[in-house]
Amino acid sequence: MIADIASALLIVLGTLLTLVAALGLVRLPDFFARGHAATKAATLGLSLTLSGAAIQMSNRGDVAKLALAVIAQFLTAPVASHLLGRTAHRTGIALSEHTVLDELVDEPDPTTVAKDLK
Amino acid sequence: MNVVVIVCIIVSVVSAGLCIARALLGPTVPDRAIALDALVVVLVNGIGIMAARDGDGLLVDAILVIGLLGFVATLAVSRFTESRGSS
Amino acid sequence: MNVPRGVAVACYVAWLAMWADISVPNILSGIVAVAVVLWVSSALPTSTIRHRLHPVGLAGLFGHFVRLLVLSNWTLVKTTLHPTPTALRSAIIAAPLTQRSPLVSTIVANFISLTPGTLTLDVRLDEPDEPMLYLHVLGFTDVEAARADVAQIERWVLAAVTPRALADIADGPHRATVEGATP
Repeated sequence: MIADIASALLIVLGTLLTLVAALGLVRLPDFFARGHAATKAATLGLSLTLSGAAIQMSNRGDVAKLALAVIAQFLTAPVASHLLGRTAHRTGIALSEHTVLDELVDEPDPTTVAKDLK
Repeated sequence: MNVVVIVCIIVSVVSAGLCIARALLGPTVPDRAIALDALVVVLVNGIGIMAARDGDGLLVDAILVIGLLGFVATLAVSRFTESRGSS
Repeated sequence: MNVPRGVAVACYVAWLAMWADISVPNILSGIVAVAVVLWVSSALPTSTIRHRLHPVGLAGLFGHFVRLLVLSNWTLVKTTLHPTPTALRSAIIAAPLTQRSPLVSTIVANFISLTPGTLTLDVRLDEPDEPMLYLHVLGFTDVEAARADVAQIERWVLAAVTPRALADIADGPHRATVEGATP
């Protein structure tokens, strides 16, 4: 009973956070702000939902798999946003009018400049 | 529990719709890429809800695989965009 | 193979977790799988810097991480629901790091992406320039505050995972000095 309530609470919280992530994707003005929403809210939301699901699992091995999925999400989501952010800045993406300062000076990536797709 | 599952699935569907909206709207390729990455996370969220309802581990393998493949897809799009430009 | 033990152990544990079953076939196939993965990934550039792990620092880092993760989501929810111009004020700033270890910089970069208001954009550790971390700040107040946040996070990470050179220095001046390292 307690497990069911805890599980339901975690799942509701997690799903609401992914809703906030999706809302942020639509509402926020430029790419980097959307990256904030997609990285932080989606990661924590998914982790909460999978934790709620892990409580309901009858097999101990499935809990290990879900823990692995949570760890994988924590490791990979920031890396994905980092790569996309670097790519976006390098290709000169438009910053929102709220942006005050930009200190990043792009240097050409040696692995992609040499390759010329003909 | 069933009420919670139904409500959460509806919320997940709405989230997925918003992500798809950004994927269609987003003026640049990185916008679309991050929207699709978030879509994969929403999808895994939905699968997690169904796994919690059933209580058996059938869907957990799918959660692992889809989550990791979503990340790899985002990486591929990022490298592709870098060599092509994000118009 | 020039890979630290920790990586091999982590891969092996991940293999066992994926099969979710600790049986003899899984234990043996895990050794084979990890060997294959390490052999294939030995083609990737590796770093020669070795680190020392401090359990107390690691526990502290984990605690800060959980607290900042929850706080970052809380500020993000407020920003998304009420997008005011002060909340959306952003900047891309350069924050200097104090060391060039790829492992520490990766942990700092990932940590930064999950802390309130900041997202890592680029990390540059190459030789002639100062090691630098570039980040995008949402809800920007001033540059020095953001740089202080980065420096604090780097201190927490260094308390948990210390590069051997710095660890030798910290252990006391009677140990052999390392060229080029500044205490």
